[in-house]
Parts: sequence; C-alpha cells; structure tokens
Amino acid sequence: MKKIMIVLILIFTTACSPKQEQVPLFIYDMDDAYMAVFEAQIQASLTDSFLVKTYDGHNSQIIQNDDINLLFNQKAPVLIINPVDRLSVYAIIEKAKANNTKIIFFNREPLAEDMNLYDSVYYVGADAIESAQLQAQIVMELFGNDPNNLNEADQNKDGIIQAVILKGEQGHQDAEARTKYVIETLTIAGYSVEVLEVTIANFDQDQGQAAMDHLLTLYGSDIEVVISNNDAMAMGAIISLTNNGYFQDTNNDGYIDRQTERWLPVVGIDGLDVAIDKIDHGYLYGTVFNDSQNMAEAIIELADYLLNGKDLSKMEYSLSDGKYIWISYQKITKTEN
Amino acid sequence: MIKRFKNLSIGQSIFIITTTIVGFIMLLSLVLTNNLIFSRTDALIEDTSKEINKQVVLNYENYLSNVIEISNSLQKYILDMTKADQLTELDSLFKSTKNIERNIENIALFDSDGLPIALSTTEPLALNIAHKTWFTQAQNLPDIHHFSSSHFEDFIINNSTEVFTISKSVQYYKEGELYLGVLLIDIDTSNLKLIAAQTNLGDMGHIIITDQANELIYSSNTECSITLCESADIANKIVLGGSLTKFKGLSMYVNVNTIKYTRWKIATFINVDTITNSKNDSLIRMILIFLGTLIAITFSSALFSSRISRPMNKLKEHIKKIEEGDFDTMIDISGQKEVVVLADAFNSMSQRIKELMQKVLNEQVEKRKTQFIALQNQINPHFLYNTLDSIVSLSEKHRNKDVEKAIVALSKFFRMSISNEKSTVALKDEIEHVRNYLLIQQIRYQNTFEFNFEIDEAVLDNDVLKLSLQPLVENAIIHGINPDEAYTKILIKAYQKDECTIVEIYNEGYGIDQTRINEIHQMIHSEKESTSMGLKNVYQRLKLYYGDKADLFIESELDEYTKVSMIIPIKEDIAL
Repeated sequence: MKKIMIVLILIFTTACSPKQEQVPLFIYDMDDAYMAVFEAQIQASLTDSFLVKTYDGHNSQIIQNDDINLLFNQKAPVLIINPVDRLSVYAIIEKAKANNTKIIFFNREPLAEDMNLYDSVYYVGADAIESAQLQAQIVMELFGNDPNNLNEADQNKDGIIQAVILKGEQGHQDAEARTKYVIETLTIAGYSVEVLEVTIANFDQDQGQAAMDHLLTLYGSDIEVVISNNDAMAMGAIISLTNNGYFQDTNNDGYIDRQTERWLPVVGIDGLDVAIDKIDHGYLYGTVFNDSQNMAEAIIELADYLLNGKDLSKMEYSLSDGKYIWISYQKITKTEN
Repeated sequence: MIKRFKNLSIGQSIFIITTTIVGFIMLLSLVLTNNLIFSRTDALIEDTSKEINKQVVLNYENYLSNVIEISNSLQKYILDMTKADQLTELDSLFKSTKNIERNIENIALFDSDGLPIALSTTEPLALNIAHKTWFTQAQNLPDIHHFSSSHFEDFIINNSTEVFTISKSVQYYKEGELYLGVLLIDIDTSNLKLIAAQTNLGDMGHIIITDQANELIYSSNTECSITLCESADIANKIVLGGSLTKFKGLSMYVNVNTIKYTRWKIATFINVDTITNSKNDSLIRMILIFLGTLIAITFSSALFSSRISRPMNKLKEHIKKIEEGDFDTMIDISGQKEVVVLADAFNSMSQRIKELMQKVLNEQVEKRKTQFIALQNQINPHFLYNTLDSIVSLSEKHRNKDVEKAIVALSKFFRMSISNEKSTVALKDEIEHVRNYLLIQQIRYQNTFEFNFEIDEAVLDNDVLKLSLQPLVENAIIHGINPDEAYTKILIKAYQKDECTIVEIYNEGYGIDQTRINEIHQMIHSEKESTSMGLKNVYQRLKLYYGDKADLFIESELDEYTKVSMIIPIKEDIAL
C-alpha cells in the first residue's frame, strides 16, 4: 500500500512539476567536429530555466527545413538555428514572422537584408573578418613580421609568400570572408602573397586531407604555408602531409622538432581541442580560437531572455544593432603557450 | 422514454436491440477503419510528396551547384589570367567553357562600369549594362552569387534565348592592381524545364520557382505569368513547408522548399487528387456497405421478430377469448417450433378446462336437483302429521263441521303440493295454498288468530317457489300465537319492487330481539343441519333457485310484531 502511495505521489509530483520548456537547436551537421563540440558546449551552458533539444540537419537544408517546419507547427516560441544554407534562411525568417517565433541564428550569419525582415531575429557569432585578420597576423609572425624581409619560412627566398588556401563551403560567409580577408590583411600589411590554389574542402577533415594530397602533387615543396578556413581541414592537411613525408617524429618523442624534423606550417581557425593539442606537439603551427564557449553562453542567455520576455538591454552579452552578439577570437600558437 | 421501452413487445425489443447493436458496431468499425485508412493515406500523401519535392530540390541543387563550381573556377582563372594579362585566353576560356557546358548560353566579365573585359560571344552588346538588375545586385552584395529570374538574354542585342543570369562580383587584375568587376553567366532555362518535366507530378502538377522577393523566376505551368500566378500566391502563403491545397478544383500537395546556393524557393505542386478521390471513394463505399448492412439487418430482424411475435400475438388474442369464457375456438399457429408446441399445449389445456367446467356444472346441477327434491319432500310429512293430529282432536270434540272444513282444506292443500311436478307456481296459487293451510291451522288452533292478505294485483301471476310461503306462515303461527293472549293477527303482503316480488308475512306478538334475529339469520345461512327446518329450507331453496339476489330475512319490534320478508327476483329464464 505504502509503495503504491509512493508511486502515486511520484506520478503526481512529476505531473505537477512545471514542464520545462524545450528550445529546439538546429545544427547544420553534427558530423562537423566543430559543431559537435559547439553543441555540447551549448548543452553544458544550460541553466535551469529550459532544456535544449538538438536537431541534426545532416548538411541538408531540406532536412533542416523539414525539422524547422515541424517546430513551427508545434508553436515553439524560440528556435536556435545554425543554418545549412545562410542564403535560404529568409524563408525561415518570413515563416517565423508569420508565426511570431523568435529566432537566434549562430555560426552562419544571414544576409543583413534578411535579418531586417523581422524584429525578433538575432545572430550570435564571431566576426569572420576578425578571424581572418588574426590568422593573417599568425602568418605574419611565421614569416618574421617584416614584409620586406621574410625569414627562413620563405623557403625559396623570393620575398613572396607562396600559399595554398583550404576553403570552407562555397557561399559560406565565413569561408568567403576568411579566404578574402586573410589575403587582404596580408596584402594591406605589405606582404606579397601568391595564392597557388584555393581549394574548397567544405570545412571537412577528410576533404581537407584529399585536397592537400592534390595540392602536394600539384605544387609539392613550392608551398610555404597552408592557410585553412578551419581546424578540421587543417587536421586533414596535417594527415596528408604526414603521409607525404612531413611531420615524421624520427626521435619518437611525440613532438615535432622544427629545427631537425621536416614540417610545413599549417594555420587553422576555431581552436578545437585536437588542434590545440597538435599545436602543443608541433604539428599545427597556429590557430585562431573561436571562443565557442562564450558563444554558447551568449546563445543560452539570449534564448533565456527571449523565452521569458526579459529586457534584452540587461543581458551580460550586449546586443549591437539590437540583433547581434559578437564574440571575439584569440590567436593561439606554440610560442604563446 | 424508459417507460416506453419497458412496454415494448418481444418483437420490438428484438428488432431494436439487434438493429442498435449491429448499427453501433458497424458505425464504430466504419469510423475506426476510416480514421486508420485516412491517417495512413494522409501520411502517405505527405511523405510521398515530400520525397518528390526533396528529389526535385536535390536535382536543382546539383545542377546549380555545378554552375557555382564553374563560376568559382572561372573566378580563379580570371585572377590568374588577368594578372598575366592574357585577356584573349580568357575569351577562349569563356568560349570553351560555354561549349563544354551546353546549358551555359554565355559568359562575360565586365568592369565596374559595365564595360566588357572578356566575352564568350561576338554578338553586339546592349547599352547600359551597368544598369541591369543582375549587374547592380552583384555590386551591391559582392559576397554571393545572384540568380536572376528567367528572361531573354539582355546583355546582347540579338536576344533570342530565354535564360536566367548568374552574376557575381569578382576580383581581377588590371595592370597589376586588383579591381572589382562583375562576372555574368547566362544559363539556358531549358534545363530548369527539363528537371521539372522529368518529375512526375501528376496531371496539372507543376513546379514554380520564386526568388526572395516572392517574384516568379520560373513556372512549369504555362498559365503562369510573372504578374499573375495563382501557384505563386499559394506558395508564398505557405512560405515554407507542405500543405494540402485545392488548385483548379484538384487536390494538390504543395511543398515549398529553398534551393541551396541560390535565394530561390521552389514549390512543387503534386496532384494527389486520385489519392484523395480514392479516399473519398472508399469512404462512400464504406458508407454504402454500412447502410446496406444496416438495412439488411433492419429487415431481417423485423422479419424475424414478427415471425416470433405474430404467433405470440395470436396466442395473446386467444387467451383474451378464453378470459371472456370462450373455450370452444382452437388456435391454429404455424411458426417457431416452441410457439407451435406452446399453442398445442394451450389448445389441449383449454380443451381440458372446458371438459372440467362442463363436468363441474353437471355435477352441480345434479346435486341441486337432488337437494331440491329432498327439501321439498321434507315438508309434507311433517305437516301432514300435525294436521291429522288436529283433525283427530276435532273429531274427538265432535266438531264435525270443522273436521269437514279441515279435510277439504287439507285435500286442496295436498293436491297442490303433490300434483305439480314444477318447482315454481304462480303467486296466486301459492297464496291459495297458504290460505288452505291457514284455514287448517285456524281449525287446529281454534280460531286463536285471524289472517289477512294484501296482495298487489300485479304480482298475482309472478312466479314463486312452490311451497315457500307455507313454512313462513307456519312459523308465524307457531311464534305468533301466544297462549296468554286471546287473539293474534297474521298479515301476508305481496308487491313488486325493483324487479323483485316481495312477500312479507307479519304476525303480532312479543317480537324477537336483534340478537336472536342475528342468530336465526346465521342459522339459516349456514350449511349445517339444524332443528329449525322451515326457514332454513326456504332460504336454501331460494338461493339455489334464484341465486344471490333472492333473500329471506326477519325484522322485528319487541312486543309489536315480527316480519319475515322474502325477496324473489323476477326472472324470465329458469336455470332448472
């Protein structure tokens, strides 16, 4: 009898406890290592006020649209979206407007004109241009910080930086901006840069590895630096280079000695744990830390404020232009550790 | 309502219960099956059309991503070739790309003022290229590829081909410096149409593509124009996702999705009319089956219940007849075995009842006859002995005149008593008989009483029981004659009242108190033998002969009189 009472009380209390709001989180592709980490950070940043349910878009806007539609139909008050195709989101924004749903985009920034379609649409992200500028600074440090007198990193001593670029997805704003501004920053700083090739590897490690294989056969030792739009492709490039005679840890100490062992500077962006580990061990030259932890916290805070109708001006992460929260990047190289 | 149900006949109950249960089960199964089939069908329609839409979107995406790949490669070559100042090579690159990619109608690179840098065509160019929408769009938003709506090629004068234009702001070198220009790729719309045509969307099914401003880019439905397109309106209302819609009277499942890389939305209109129709058909069919079954059940249960209830009703009618006393008609029932058996049993039962009743009646008649005769006979010897005793005493006193009178009266008296076999006589005869008796008794009691008759003329011929007055008069004499008083009066009255002949016999005397009267009444009403034979004898004969209406009772006033009244119903038919 007592047992039954306890069970009944449990059922009763469960039924009576306030149902926690579930905010849907749409990730463009959970196979993307960076996004997988990011998703975990968002989940870890949760306070008590609501839960987050993740939907994997499998890198297909069709699948993501389908899921988003489902949540529109369920009258979810707030959606957190990492869109597959940032150019298509105007349709989502229009639908959100019609449904009075608030949307937080992150990681892939919608066009400004689309952001202006509706008041309650927000973007949390890092400025891609900033990441490119910081990546350019790492490259500058690599080449001795003097555009007119490049150091030994300029292997053919021609005073020009021969670079290959591993580009993320075509049309991805970060990919476009990082590719464009890393070169532009270097050029503006007075460096001569010869971009041997811009290869699209879709932010993917395997594609990065394949692209590097291809680039090595094309340019071989002409390549002086590998500039990657993200760490995943940089990791792929390091695997490719390792397979092609670079980064051979001949003394088996677990570290690459840049004085004695053959290496090629690879620079990434994101600051994944694996990337930082590779920097520690001398494989990856440097990366730009995309502070996803801060970004995750900002997203959760914003979602919380939107969900509970709080005054957005009181947020810890302040809004610029009433719609954007920008999170800064940080440079990470071995010398700084 | 409940009361009404309680009063239902067997037939009605069977009918109502059967019809209700069958109807309810049928309706339930109809609704359940229907819901199941319909939800499955709806899910099927949604899934199928989503899948088709997905396929169409993928086809377009593959196709357009290919174009974007080409654009991306071209951008790199533009940088490389302009850097090396190989503009003629760039022309031929554009030409060969156009030749390889058959969908590409033309490729051109313009500087920021809309002047050509490299071209895949030698056709004369249009003016004011810098004012074309695709050109300004590319300049305004340099990051992305711009996809124009379908139009006749507009950067050359001899425009004959319908194309859509992809434009992108690109970097190129001019004398070692980086400049921003605009790359144009015109794509033949035939491939857009081909993809649409390759997809089976059913009759009237079609595809429309709109841009971010909801303006029509392309429609496989030829009725659509850029300014007027019902499909586009429907798609714009949906914004994103799927919905079942009516289009030109047909059921269409519309799916709106976005096409990656572009800022286009694509809406697939898939004809699901046949499915929805078959859904409706199956609903109608099911309802028909339902109604058919219900009607069949209604009829058969009505038939069945009437087959059961008709013989029952016949039986009921028959019982009513028996209730009214008719045991002669037999019922003839065909139908269910049970009912036939019941009817047969009923027939034999009523036959038996009839026999028994007849037997009881006969026995009763016999008994009454015997009793009657016996009672009638009781009187004669009793009286005869008394009278003879009186005559003997007269003769001893030598009152010969009186002896003669008495013997004449006695002879008259007995003639009447013996002669007639009938049970009843006319009142006047009975009065005559009593007069003789009184004469005899007057002689016997030596004129200690006198008697009078007050007989209504009207009742003289009425029937009375033979020898019914005499015992009453005898009683009056016995109880009326008081040895102490010299003289007693006896009065006999007869008149008619309420269909009855009433005969009253008064005698003066002490009278009888009420307790004694009650005792006497009790005595004459009881079946037991008793000493006071006269009154009881008359009473029982009255009752036997005339039934309940007949009566005999005594009234008295102490020291004044005693009255015995006899009530004789006047009846035409005589039971005996």
